[in-house]
Amino acid sequence: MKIFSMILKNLKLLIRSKFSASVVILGPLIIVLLVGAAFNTSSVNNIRVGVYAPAYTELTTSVVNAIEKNPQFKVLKLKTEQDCLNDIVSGAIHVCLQFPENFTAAVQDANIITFNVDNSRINIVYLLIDSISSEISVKTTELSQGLTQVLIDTLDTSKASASKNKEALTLMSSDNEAIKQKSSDILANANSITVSINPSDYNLTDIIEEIDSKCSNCSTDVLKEIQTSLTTLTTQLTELNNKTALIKTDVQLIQTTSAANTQKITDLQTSFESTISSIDSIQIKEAGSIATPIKTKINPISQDKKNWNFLFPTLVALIIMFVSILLATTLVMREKNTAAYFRNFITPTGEFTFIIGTFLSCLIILVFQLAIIFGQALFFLKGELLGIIFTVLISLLIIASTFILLGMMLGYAFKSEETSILAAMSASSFLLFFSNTILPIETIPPSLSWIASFNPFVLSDSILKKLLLFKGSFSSVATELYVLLSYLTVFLILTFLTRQITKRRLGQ
Amino acid sequence: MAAPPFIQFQNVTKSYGKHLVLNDITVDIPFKEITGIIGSSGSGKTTLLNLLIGFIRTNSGKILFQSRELKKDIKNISTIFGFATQAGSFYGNLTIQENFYYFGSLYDLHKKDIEGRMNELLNLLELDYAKNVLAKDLSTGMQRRLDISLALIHNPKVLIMDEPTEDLDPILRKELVKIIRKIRDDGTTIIITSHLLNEIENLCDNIAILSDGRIIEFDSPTKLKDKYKKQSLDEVFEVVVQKFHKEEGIDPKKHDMPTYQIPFWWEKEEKRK
Repeated sequence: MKIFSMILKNLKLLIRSKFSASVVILGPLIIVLLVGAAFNTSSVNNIRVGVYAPAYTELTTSVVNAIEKNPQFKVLKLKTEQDCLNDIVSGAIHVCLQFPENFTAAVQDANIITFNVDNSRINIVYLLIDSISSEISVKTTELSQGLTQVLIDTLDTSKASASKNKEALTLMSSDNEAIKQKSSDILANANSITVSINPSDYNLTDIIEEIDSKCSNCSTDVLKEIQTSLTTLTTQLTELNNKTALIKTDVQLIQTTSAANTQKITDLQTSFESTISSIDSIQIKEAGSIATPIKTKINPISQDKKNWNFLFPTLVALIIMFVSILLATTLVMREKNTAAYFRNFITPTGEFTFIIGTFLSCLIILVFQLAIIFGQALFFLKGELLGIIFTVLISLLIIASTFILLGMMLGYAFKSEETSILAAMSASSFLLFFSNTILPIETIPPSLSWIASFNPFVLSDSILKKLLLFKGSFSSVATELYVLLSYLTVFLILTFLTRQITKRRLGQ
Repeated sequence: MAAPPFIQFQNVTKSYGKHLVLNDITVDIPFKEITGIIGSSGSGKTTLLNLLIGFIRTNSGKILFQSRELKKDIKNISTIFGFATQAGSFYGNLTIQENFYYFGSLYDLHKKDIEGRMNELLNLLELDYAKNVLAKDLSTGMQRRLDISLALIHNPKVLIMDEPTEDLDPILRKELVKIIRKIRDDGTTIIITSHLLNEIENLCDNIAILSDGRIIEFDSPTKLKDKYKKQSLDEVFEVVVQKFHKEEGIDPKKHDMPTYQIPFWWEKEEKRK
């Protein structure tokens, strides 16, 4: 029962203190709700892709069009390479795609797209590369398929041609068999010619002489012998005649077949030449190039390699934000809670003098802390800061002033120290959540992302990155500084107004 | 020809929203005298003092200082008045000396002037031996004296003291009364509020009785006692207030009650129980 009464009492007290209740109960809920709603995504949005190409080839245009088709990306064509790089530093674009002059697929050195990225944005750089690469890889696959198709077509043509040639060769082979057969026949025929045309066999001279001498007395035997000889000769000659005719026919056949084979060989030569020429006509023969006709190269724009360098600007912005807000809130609350607060009001001292007094007190403490941090940083940055020290100091002053005034405003707005500290912590956490520190703001819906880009912490982080990582000039951070100056003015006015309200409360 | 009154309230009205705190106040505060303002809690005493020092603005009416309207001379108000509060308006974590330097600088005093004035006041209020002690480590009586001394650092013409003897034991009270008289004798006009009517009676040259936002009596304690034929200021106060309530038809049980609007849904819950 006692505990119930205590709980009831505590709840009543909390609810009747509306401001405290809203901070204690609603504050964390609102943060969780907003962060939950904002980061309930799995992709990056509103990515500004800068494109630079000395000349837009057909392939360049098709790759750019492929990226443009994806609503996640907004493509900005830039006139020079330097513009493209500068725009990354300024944050106008997230990534700069640089195409070679004659961008052609699978041609050595002419097929490389360079991704210029801000590697200091560790938590988004690979997400960006991955997202854009996936768009390019679709195009790459298309090209790769085209190139493979050319190879396959050539192979098909060669195969058809080879099949045709194979038939011709079969025919030539059978022709050769026929020639071989005919040659054997000729040889057999030639071998079978038994006619020996040896004049001595026929004693034709003797016969003629004998006939001449003995013709008058020519006996029948002589005539018979002559007749027989002549008959034998005639038979042999006839046989010879026949064989010769056969041989002629065969040789003629061989000639015809050879001529046909010569034609076939010419045809085969033509076919092979055509196949060779077809294979020669394939431009891309390297397996790697066919598999990856477009190559990508990552070019980090910051030369710093260590994560510490990338984290340093964010770390400084984070320290300035938390220390400024909490310190200013605490100082104001301490001041408000002292009995001396009243006496301050009744002295002939302007309201702004008190605001400036508290502001400068916070600033001095912060300067002391920053001096230690930057003292350490000089060791890592190796004196590179000296060239831009004035811009860095001005920027740090504006950043610190903005957060100090925000903290002071919270300090004046809340009644109790605990509530104001909680409000300061909630405000700082809120600014931290909607920045690039935990998750990139590109992962939240575009409308919220646009609002988050005006988050003073995001602006401070961006300013310090540009100055400390990219050694940017004053003009490179001017826009962010002007926005911060606007915040500063608004916070100053609100600080003044909330202080007036506390004064009025004190009078009552 | 008589000198004009030192401080004049002319038909001064002040309200917070619908709550009327001061209603048509008209009173003259005499020069170099101690004027006590007495009234029940919530009668508007502190509001009256806050109006005087320009901490809050009137809704209507005028407050004149030596015939000059204070509203038009806002820059000088803070130099004319010194204010000693009941709570002790100083920094506990600063020493007496540091408090003097800080508040002296807020009154645009030079370091040497602050030093001179500090020594003078610390002597007067018998705090010189504790110059370097942190204010929070001082006893209650010393803290009260430190607050008064800080209220006097810029040598104001008028010292306003809101319940200065509250929470003090009788010995410390006596000491403080002595000091207040000393300050008056040095030529400072003093306006004082208190619940302790016996003390006021002995200390003040004039008494203003405040009830329901109005000054219902203003005179010297002796004259008031004579007028109402009473032995003490306590009795006078009781009679005057009762008479006023009767004349105005005010229910003393209801008046000056602070209000708080309970959320309707909570009210329903309570009724259900």
